[in-house]
Amino acid sequence: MRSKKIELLAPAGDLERLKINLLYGADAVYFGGKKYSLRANASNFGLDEIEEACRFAHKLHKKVYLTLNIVFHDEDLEGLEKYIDDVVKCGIDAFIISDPFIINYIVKNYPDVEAHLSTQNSTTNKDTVRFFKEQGIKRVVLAREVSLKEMKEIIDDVGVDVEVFIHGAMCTFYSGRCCLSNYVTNRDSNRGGCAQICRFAYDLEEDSSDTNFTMATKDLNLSRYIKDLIDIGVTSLKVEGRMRSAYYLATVIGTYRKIIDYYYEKRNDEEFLEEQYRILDRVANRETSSHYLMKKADYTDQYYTGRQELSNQDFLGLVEKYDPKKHILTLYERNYFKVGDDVTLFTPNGQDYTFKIAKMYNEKMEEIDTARHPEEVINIEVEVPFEVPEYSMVRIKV
Amino acid sequence: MKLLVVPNRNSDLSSYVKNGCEGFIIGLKNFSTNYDLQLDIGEIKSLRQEYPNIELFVSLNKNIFNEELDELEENLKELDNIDISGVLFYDLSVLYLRNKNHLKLNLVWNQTHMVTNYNTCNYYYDLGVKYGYLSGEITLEEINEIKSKTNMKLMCFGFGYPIMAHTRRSLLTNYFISHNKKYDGQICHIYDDKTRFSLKEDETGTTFLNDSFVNGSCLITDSLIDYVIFGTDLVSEDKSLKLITLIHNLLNTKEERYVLEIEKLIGNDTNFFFKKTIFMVKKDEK
Repeated sequence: MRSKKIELLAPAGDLERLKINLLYGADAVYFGGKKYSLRANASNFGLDEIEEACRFAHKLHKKVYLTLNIVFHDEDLEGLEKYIDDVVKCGIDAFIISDPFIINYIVKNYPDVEAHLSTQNSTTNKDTVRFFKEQGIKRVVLAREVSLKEMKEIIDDVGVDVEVFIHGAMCTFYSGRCCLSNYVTNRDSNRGGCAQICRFAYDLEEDSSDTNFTMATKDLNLSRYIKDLIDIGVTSLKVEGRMRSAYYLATVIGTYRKIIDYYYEKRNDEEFLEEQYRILDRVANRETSSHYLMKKADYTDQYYTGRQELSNQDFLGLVEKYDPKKHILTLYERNYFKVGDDVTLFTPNGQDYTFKIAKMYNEKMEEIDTARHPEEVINIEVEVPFEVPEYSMVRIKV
Repeated sequence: MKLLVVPNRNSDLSSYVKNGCEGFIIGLKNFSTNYDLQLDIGEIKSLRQEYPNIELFVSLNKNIFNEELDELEENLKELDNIDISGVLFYDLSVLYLRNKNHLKLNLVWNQTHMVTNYNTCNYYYDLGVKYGYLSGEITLEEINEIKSKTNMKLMCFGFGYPIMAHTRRSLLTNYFISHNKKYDGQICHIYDDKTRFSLKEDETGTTFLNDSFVNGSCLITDSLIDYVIFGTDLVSEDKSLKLITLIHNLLNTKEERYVLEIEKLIGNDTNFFFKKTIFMVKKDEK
């Protein structure tokens, strides 16, 4: 295990989710600005929000990275340098880029700001990493097609910071080598307009069976390999999902925080780990796989009969406040629950409390049996044995 | 402007040359993807000797992994000793190894869908890459702007079925395994209401080609690029020969009648030459 602790890097679609990520244990966050980001249709961050994001993160001694990872067309070039200047003034720690001409500008003008190479470049080998290191890249986000063994070789032989995707949706194709969206919908996949054509179902002419041809992949989940990734010297563990919900992020980031800390604390508690795996397996509401980490991805890593998604109703509510004198936990409901349900209160600082709901009330403190309507205020009677911080949440017991 | 042809394994190269093809792009065994004709170093040497007066480019366009780097380096050294016009590359390890070994090989930046602006062309040009193979998803106007702002010699895919996507996954094998069947290695086609794609699978993965034949006559009549490329993959030999003759005639005369004859032969799908892609569905709120 290397001396410097591995980084947990989280995606942020907006300021609230950025704060949730950082409070739930991310060491750094990444997001897109209003332009030049591969999630052109996410909320994304204006300059004021970038500044606030940097302030919030830096107060917690955490880092903020901005994606500038579109593949530029000529028309996108105008204003780019000024935009970089403005973002640097906001306090950004690094840019995640895919078009390499930007490296020069950052390296020459902002030596204290790092340039990270996006996975959009599909970097798969040592010599490509050496090339980019020579150009001034400080960190490489490796292609998702790279195995653990290959990661280790790159880290050992080249000596550059390596960032690895550990959780979230996967592209079916090599990143950067897919323009299906352009051809089918005219939306430019390499400029943030990807319409996810790989999630559609098609007929296959050469097969007479009734089933459709699909190419959609299962999600990535490397939670069972975190120790291996720490041991080989990976610098940063990245979670995908700038479009994901606050609950998803709180759960995924909070759980990975616990798994990472577990290894650094040299604990030996298999039951604890199994519980974390169970939580992660449920939250995505999609099947998951380790894809290329230990073998070449094969037929087990895809869907063939449409998306195997179950509606996930685990998230019961976002805590608004806790009154420790009256033992009332107030939350905004998200999904149906009722008296007698076993639920878990989980918090940004990693403390959990599982209990059976004995009594609950509506906003007017009238006793009720069931919470049926999302966004309703629900009061649960419970004695929580710790302070309940902002952004705590309640889910069904996993 | 010159016509480069990407031959397939059934191509009659001598007829292509006789009909006006001025150069070939061929794959290198183990290092190319979606090149039906892939030769080893010895075969490339023979081809060079057989056709000493045409331009010969070799494509190393696959994604490369650690265990392939030694063989890649050896191949590049071998290619450096053959009088070829250049090496097309996708993976940057090719550029790294060319520079590390001080090879004199010309390189062609060929990151399929990512060669889209003059700034990046100039970035690679300054690193010694003298050719660029432009993305098929940009407009004729963008092509001309890039040409006017870079010293790179530029190539464009003008005729044939364009590549849309490439994955390391064996999508056809996987599909048939999941249905308890065996994939026979043939090209397959998938379709829905609006689209039809051709799928090819080999040891590098699966490649998707659009099923509509691109007509890039406008590149010849309205641009100053250096090379126009015709990919013969999935095209009959008879059609390929006819098209090579017509492109050759158009290149030499710029006469409208050849534009019309080409259109009669292959249709008029101008791909993205006059169609700009979009990416913001919501209002830009910068």
